[in-house]
Amino acid sequence: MAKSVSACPFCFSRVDTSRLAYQCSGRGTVKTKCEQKEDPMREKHTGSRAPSYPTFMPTEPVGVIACPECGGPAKRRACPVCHTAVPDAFVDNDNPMLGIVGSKGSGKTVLMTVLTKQLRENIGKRFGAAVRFATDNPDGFEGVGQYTKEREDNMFLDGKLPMGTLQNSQERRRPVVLMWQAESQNRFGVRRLKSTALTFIDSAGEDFNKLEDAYALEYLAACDGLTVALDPFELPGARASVTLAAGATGRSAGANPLHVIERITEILRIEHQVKRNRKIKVPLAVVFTKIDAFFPTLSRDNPVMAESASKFAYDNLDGQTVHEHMRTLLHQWGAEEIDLHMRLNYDTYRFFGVSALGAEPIYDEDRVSPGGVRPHRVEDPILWLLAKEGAVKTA
Amino acid sequence: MPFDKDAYRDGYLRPKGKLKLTTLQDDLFDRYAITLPAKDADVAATVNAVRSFWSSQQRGTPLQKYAAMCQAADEELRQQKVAAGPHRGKDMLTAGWWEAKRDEADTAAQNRISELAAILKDSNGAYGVVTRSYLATCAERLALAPAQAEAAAKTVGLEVVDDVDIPDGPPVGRFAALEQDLSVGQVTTVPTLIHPRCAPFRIASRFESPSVPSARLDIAGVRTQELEANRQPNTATWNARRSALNMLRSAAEGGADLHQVALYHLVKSVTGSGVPGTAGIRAALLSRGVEERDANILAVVLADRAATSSGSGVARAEQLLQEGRLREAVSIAQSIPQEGGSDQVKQLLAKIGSAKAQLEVLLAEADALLAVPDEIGSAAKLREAASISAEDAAERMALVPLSPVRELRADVGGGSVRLHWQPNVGHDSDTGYIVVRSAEAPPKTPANGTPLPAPAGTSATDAHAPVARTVHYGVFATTAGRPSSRPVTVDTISLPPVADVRIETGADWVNAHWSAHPDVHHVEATHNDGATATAVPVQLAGAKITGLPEGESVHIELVAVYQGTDGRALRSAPVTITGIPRAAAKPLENLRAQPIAGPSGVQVRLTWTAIDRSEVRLKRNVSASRWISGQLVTAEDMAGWGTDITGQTDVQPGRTVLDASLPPGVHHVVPFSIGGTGIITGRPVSVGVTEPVTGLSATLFQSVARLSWTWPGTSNLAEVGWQRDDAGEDAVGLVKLSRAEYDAKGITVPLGPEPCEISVRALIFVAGRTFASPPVTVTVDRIAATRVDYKVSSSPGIGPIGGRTKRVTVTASGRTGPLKIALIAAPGTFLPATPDAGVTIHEENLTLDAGQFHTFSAKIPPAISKPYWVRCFLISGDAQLHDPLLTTLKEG
Repeated sequence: MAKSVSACPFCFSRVDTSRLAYQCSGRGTVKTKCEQKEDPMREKHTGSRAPSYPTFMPTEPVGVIACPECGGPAKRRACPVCHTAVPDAFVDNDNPMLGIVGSKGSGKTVLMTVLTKQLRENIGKRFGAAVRFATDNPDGFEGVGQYTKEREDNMFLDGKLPMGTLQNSQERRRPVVLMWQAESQNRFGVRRLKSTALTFIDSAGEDFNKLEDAYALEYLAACDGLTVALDPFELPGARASVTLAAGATGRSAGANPLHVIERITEILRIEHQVKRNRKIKVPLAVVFTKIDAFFPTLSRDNPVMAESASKFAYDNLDGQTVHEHMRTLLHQWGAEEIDLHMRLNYDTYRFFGVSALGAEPIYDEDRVSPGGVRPHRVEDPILWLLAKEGAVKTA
Repeated sequence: MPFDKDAYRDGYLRPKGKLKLTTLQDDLFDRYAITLPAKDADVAATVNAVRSFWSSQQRGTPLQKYAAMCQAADEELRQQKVAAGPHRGKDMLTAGWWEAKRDEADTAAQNRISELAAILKDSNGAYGVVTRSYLATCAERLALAPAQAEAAAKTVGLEVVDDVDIPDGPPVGRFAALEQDLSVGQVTTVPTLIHPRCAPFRIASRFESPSVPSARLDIAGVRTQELEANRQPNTATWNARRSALNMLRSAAEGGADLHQVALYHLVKSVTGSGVPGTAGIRAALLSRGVEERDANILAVVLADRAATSSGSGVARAEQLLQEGRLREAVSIAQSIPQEGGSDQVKQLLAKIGSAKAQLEVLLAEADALLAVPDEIGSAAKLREAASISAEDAAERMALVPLSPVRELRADVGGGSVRLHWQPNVGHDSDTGYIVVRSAEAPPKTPANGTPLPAPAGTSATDAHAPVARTVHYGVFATTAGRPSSRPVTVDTISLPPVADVRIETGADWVNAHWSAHPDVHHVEATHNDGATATAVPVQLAGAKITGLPEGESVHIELVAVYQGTDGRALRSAPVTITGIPRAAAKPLENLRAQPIAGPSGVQVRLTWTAIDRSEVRLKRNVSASRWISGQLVTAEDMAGWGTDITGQTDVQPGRTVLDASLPPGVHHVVPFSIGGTGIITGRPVSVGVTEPVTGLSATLFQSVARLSWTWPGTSNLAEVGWQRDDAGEDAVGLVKLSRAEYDAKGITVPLGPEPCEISVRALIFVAGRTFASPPVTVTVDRIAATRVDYKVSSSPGIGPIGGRTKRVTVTASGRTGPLKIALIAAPGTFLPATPDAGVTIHEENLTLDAGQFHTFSAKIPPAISKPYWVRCFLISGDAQLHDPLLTTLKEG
C-alpha cells in the first residue's frame, strides 16, 4: 500500500496513516480485561490525561490484531506517537490539516465556535460532506456534549460571549478537531472518500506574538493550510473610519496585525525550511474579523457586503473579488504593508472579511447583539482552503 | 512506601481542611506522606502521588482549598535543592533531600529545647517544679512539641506538675464569718482547725498528712473535732473555733468540698498578707504548715496567676467603680490598709466619695420625677444612677411603675370591640399588658373590672362586649419586678349591624336575609331606588320585595335597632345589599377571543352577544376547565377557578366587547352566566398572547436585507411579511420561520425598485390555532431597478508598448433613464473604490434599452504607467453598475 503521510491532528506528528497503532477495545477475554488508564505517551505529546485503553504497534500488521496485555480484540486505530485514537476516516488516507490561529482579541474563539457549528450544521450539508467532531474532548471540554453546552448553547441560546482565551503556558490547549469527509472524483472519474482534518486551536494570541510556545510551533508547522484571524480594530486607519462602542477596542492588547503575520511567516519559514529567496507554499487565508462594524462605510454593491454564494462549490470568482476589495480596504486603512508582506512571502494567499456574530456585540456585558448570532461569510476562508486541497470543488 | 490515598485523606488532608488554616504548619513529612528511610524511587512515587491527589480534589471543597495551599508551597519546594553536605544538589524527589530536611528540623528543635531549658532554670529553678500549663505556653511560643518541652524541663531538674484547681471565689456562703472565726480562734488554716496536729500537710491536689495519715477533710473529721471543742472551756478562742467548725459541718452537709474551702482560705490568707513575690508566698505557706513540695507548687501556681491577674486591690476597686459596682468597690477599699496609705489609695477614696454623692443626687431626682408622676424621667435618672451603682439603682427601679401605653383607640365592629395601642418608652419584649373592661367607671387598677384574654402584642379584642351601653376599657403595662403602669382608658358603645347578609333573586323579586345580635330590638329594612326610600316589611330575618323589573339593580338598606339603658332607640350603622332580579341563566356559547394591539402593549379582545339578562363573568386559567358548556356550578367553584378578566367593556346593541390586558402565554377562558337560579358555564375559548418581537433591524446588502430581532420568551415561531409597490415577482412575500431556522440560517428579504415594508409577528400555537402578536415593521430603502454591466477591452499592445486605449461596452437588463458613467484610471496595485481614487479619463452620457449595447473608448494618459487599474463608476442616474471580471480592469 502506498505510504500516506498525514499530520496527527492531536500531536501534529507526521505519521504514516497506513501504519497506525492499534488500541485495545477493552472487551478482553474470558480470563482478563484491560482497564482504561492514563497513557504517559498521550500526556507527554498532547497533555491529555484522559484514561484510555492500551495502545500498541502490531507485530503482525495483518489479520485480527489482539491486545498484547489482555489478548482481546483491538480494532480502533491510534496515533503511534501520542496514542490518541483517530477517526476511521483518518486511516489509509491523506488527511490534509487546516488550522486556524489568530491574535489576541481578534474574536478567534467566537469565530472558531461559530465556524465549528456552521460547518457541522449547514456548510457540510451544502457540499454533501459529513462533518463531525473527531475528538472526545474538543477544546479541552469533557466530551462533545459539554463543548456544545458550554460553547455553543451559551452563545447561540443564551447570548453570552465566550471569555477570552487565557494564556497559560503550563496547560496545553486541546484542539477542536473536525473531520470533513466527502466523496471526490479523480481525473479518471474514480470516486473515493476523502477526509480532511480541520484542526482549530483556540490559542491565545500572545503565543504567536512571543514565538515561545512549542506546541503552537508544532501546530503551525503541521498545517497544510492556515487561517489567520486578525482584528481590524487594531489598525489605526480602520479604527478611525468607524465609531466603535465602548469596550470594542483594547481587547487585542496592542497586537498589531502586521506583527502577528510577520511572526507566523517567521515560524513557517523556519519550520518548513523555506529559503529567504523563496516564497512559502502553505496557503494562507488572512481573515479580518468583525467586518460588520465596517458595513456603514461600504457601498451596498461592495462584494464584502454580499451574502456568501450558496453554490455547491467554492465560488472562486467571488473570492477573488472579495480579495481585491479587501486589499483596497487595507489601502484605505493605511495598512498596505500587510498586502506587501503577503505578496513577498507567500505563493498563495487570500484576504477575507468576515463577521462571526453579524452585528456588534454588547462589549460591556459580554453578550451578543439582542438579535442573536448572524454569521457573515465565516465559512469562506475554510472553503477556499478546502478547495485548495481538492476537498471541495471550485466554481 | 506505597501511597495510601484513603489513609492520607482521612488522616491528614481532611483534618487539615477542617481547620480552615490560612498558613501551612511545619508538617512537611506528614504533608507529603514521607517516612524515612526510603529509596529515591519510593520518595518520587509518593511525592508525585500526593501531588496528583491534591490536583484531584473537587473544586470548592475544604480539602481542595487546603490542597491548593499545599500546591502553592510545593512550587517553592520544587526549586529547593540541598545546599551542602552529602546530599548536596538533591531535589525533593530524592530520599537525600528529605533526610537533609529531617536533619535541619532536628537541629532547629534541639536549639529551641536548650533555649527553653535556660528559661525554665531562671524562672523555676529555685522551686524545682513547673506547671504543665506554663510549660505548654513556653513550648507553643518556641514551636516545640509537648514532649520536647518536658525534656527541656527535665534537663534542668524541674518536675512538671499539674495545675492546681483553686476556686476563684468563696466556695461556701458566709465565708467572711468563717474567716473571722478562724482569725479569732487563732487558727491559721482549715486543716489545722479540723486536725490540729496534721502539719506539715499536703493540700495542692488533695489533703494528706504524713503525720496523721487517717486525717480527712470531711464531715466525720469536723464532727470529731466539734466533740473535742465542745469539751473545751467557754472562751472567745474556743467559741470562735466551735463556730467555725459548726459552719464547716453545715457546709459539708450541704455538699461543699472542704478541700476547696481549705485551699481557698489558705490561698486568700497568703496572698492577702501583703508579702510580695513567689518566695514570700512560699515562705508564708511553709509557715502555715504546708509541706515543702506543695508549698513550691502553690507558690509557682500563684505566681503564674499573679502575672496574669489584672492588678492590685486599688486597681480592682477602680475597675469596679468604672463598672458601676460602687458597693463592691467600697468593700475592697475598706479592706485596703489605710495607715500611711499611698496616693493611689487616697485618690481611690476620693473617687468613691464623689460617686456616692453623685448617686444620692440622682436618686433624689428620680424620686421627685416619680411624684409628678413622670415614670419615664424617673427611670432615666435611675439608669444614669446605674452607671454608678447598679445595685442601688435596681433597688429603686423596683418601685417605679412602667410608663402607661400611648394612643389607645377602640374600633367597634360587628359584635366585638378591638383595642389598639402603642408601647411607650421603656416597654420591651418582656412587657405585658392587661386590658380590663368595666361597665361602671373607667378602671383605675387591673382589679377594677373584667379582664380580657391576654392580648397578643399591642391589641386586644373583646368578643363579648355588652351592646347598647357605654363600656370603659383600661390598659395597664406590666413587667416582672416593677409595679404595673397607670391605666389608659377609652369608652365605647357597641351597636353591631346585621351580619351574614345575602340575597336571593327571582325573575321579578329579591329577598334579603341576615343574622342579628341577640340583643337587637328589631331590624329596619328600606328599599332605596336612588330617589325615594320605602320601608320593607321584615319577617323572620328576611325582607322581600316583589313586582320588580328584571335586570335592574335593587338596593336594600338594613339597620339593627337596640334599646339603650335609658329606653332610647340606638341604631347601628346601615348595611346595604344589592340584588338584580333575574331569570335562570343560559350558557354563553358565542364568546370569541383575539389578540389585538392595545395602547400599552398586547391585549385580548373578548366579544360575545348577550343571550339573556344574566350577569356574565369571564375567568381565565392556564389550564382548561373541567366543565362542559351548560353545567351548573356553585359560587365557590367559580371563585376558586382562575382569575377574573377585567378591562374596558363596550356594550353595543347585540354585542359586548371587553379589551383586557393578559400576560403573555396561553389562556383558557370560561364565561360564567349568573342568573336567578344559579351560575352556569358557557363554551370555553382559548387564546395565546405573545409579546411582539423587539429590536427589529435590517442590514442592507446588495440586493437583500438581512433581518434580526429579539424573540419574546413566549414564542418560537414568527411570520415575516414584506411588500413593495412594484411589479417584481418577489414584491410581496410571507414566510413563517421557527427560531431554530432563524438561528441556523437567518432570514433575508429581497429588495427592489420601491421601498420595502417588512413586518414581523411573533406567533403562538394554542389548541391548533395560531395567534399572532401585533406586527413590528421596518421600511427599507429601494435599490436601483436596472442592472447595468460593462466590459473593458484594450487595444492590442506588446509589453509596455501600446494597449493604452480602453474600449468600454455597456449593456443593461432593462430600460434605463439618463445615465452618466465615468471611466477612471488609478495608478498602483489597489482597486479604486471611489471615482476620486483615480483620474477620470472619460465621462459618457447614455440611455439604454434592454439588451442594447453602447460602446465608448478612452485613452490612458501618458502620465499613468503600469501597474494601474481602470474602473467605471455611475456618476448619475438610476441603475446598478456591476464590475466585470476584475482581472480585465487591471494592467501590470
